Amino acid sequence: MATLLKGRAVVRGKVEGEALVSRTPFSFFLGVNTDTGIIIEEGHEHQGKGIAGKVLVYPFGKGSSGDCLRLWRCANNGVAPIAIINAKPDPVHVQGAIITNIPMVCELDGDPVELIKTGDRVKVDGGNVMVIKED
Amino acid sequence: MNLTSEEKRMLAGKDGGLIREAMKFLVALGEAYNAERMIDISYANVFIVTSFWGEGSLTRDLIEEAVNNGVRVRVPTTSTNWGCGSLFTPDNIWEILEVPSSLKDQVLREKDIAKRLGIIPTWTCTPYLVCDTGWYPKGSYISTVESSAVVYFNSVLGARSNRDCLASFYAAITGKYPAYGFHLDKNRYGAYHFDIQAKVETRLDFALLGIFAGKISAMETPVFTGLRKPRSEGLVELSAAISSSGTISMFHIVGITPEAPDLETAFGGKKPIEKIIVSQADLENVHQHMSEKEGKVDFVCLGCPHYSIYEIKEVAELLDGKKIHKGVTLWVCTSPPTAMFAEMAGYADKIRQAGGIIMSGPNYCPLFGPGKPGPEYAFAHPNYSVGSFATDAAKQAYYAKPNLRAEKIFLGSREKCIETAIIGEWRNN
Repeated sequence: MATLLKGRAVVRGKVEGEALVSRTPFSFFLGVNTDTGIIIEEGHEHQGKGIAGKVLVYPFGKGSSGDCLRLWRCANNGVAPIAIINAKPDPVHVQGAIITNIPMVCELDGDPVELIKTGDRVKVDGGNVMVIKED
Repeated sequence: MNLTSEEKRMLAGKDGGLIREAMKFLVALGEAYNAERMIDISYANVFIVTSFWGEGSLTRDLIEEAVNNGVRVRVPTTSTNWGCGSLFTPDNIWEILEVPSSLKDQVLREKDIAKRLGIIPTWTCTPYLVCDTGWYPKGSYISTVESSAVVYFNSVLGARSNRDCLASFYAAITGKYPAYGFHLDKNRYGAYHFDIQAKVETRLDFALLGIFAGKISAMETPVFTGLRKPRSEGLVELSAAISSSGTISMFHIVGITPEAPDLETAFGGKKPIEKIIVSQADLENVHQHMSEKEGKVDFVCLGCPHYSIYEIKEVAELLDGKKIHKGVTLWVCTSPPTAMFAEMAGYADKIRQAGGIIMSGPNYCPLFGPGKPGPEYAFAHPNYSVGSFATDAAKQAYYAKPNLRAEKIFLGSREKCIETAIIGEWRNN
């Protein structure tokens, strides 16, 4: 089953990959080892999992303005997500997506954190987000 | 976006490659937020982190070339702290921090680039404590890094900044920033109403309130009532704490902060999403989650965000004639100008005589702690830890496990932290 969500392309791009959905606001500064891409935030629902190569979905970024640099470092180390989908765009994370040229979609016509599940296949094309669930 | 002829010229590369990249970035940022135009900024506070400039569109060559071709910042610009220090810290700082020569070289290069770009070398997360407030009067457009500084500038000073990172550097060298977010009147009103029925007086009280309110407000602006005559340090701490647990750019304190003469004005005439009564129990609950109750302490760190001269004076008075417990490290973190002031005033001597260290200087940030090498210090040394760690800062307590690999975290008042440094343990009293 496939569902199409329509949002605003903050950084345009066309990629396809597996979703990793954080139901809580996300921080690269607090939460990610930038050498490995592993989530290290204590108590995070995906602590121990990697963001590398995933379509990373979270409500919005939180915390330090260093988050942009941390995302940049993840990209330099080859462990960044391939796309970012947020309900609302935090300028710090938007700036990280622009400098790393990681496709980013925000303000979709449905709540991405509710409608996309970890493990779903997701196709991002500009502002369109196609969510493909295994039946 | 509608660009002026000057902005179009920058985008076309007529002012060189770096300015072209800067304008491209600022236009992309503006388009992400449907900004219609650029505005002229009056001040910027930037990261100078050359270790990140190796890849992507912002390369070291591009910067070097631009600096050699005379590119300079176009507005008063200060630099924030990052990494490990050298100036106004002990002479053997590189050895204390076990900084490899590659990182030392990088820090020195960052100092050099900042200098050549015409950046005022404040190297602090609290530039507003040391710089001319005439650069950012109420209503002025600025661009600043440092989540805590964004909140302080917007809330306490009434200047206007979004939560910026790389954009601040680009804004500094172009003098431009897209008009969106907290630059626009319509986005500066409150959304949540926090009515404080707890005692909120000390820096620690503000820390706990910030963590509490940041979590609930998420990305919206909180409005506080029931806060009386907060000291500046309480407002700095509130700014830091609220932007650690939340994605907050601004708060209002009715009757105190410049855009909140009354409740109605603070909310722009709209109704709050929710009114939350903040009780003593709410704040105690936050404290219980953030701090252990008792135990041995290895490291005590004060000054996150960087302390003001008044706070350093208080530390010096608390330490006067005392000695720090053997094996305990006490750091007091501040900006270089404030460190110089502390030398001049004799406070630094008192702190040193007690065994404490004033940490300051280009690129020192207490969030990276005894800054083991590499931009991701603790990560670069997987076995490194500050051990059992005490602080008076909610932000530091919040990040101490991932960034400093703290084994245990104690969060308390400045007095409590200093008592702990003297006796070597955190007592449950």
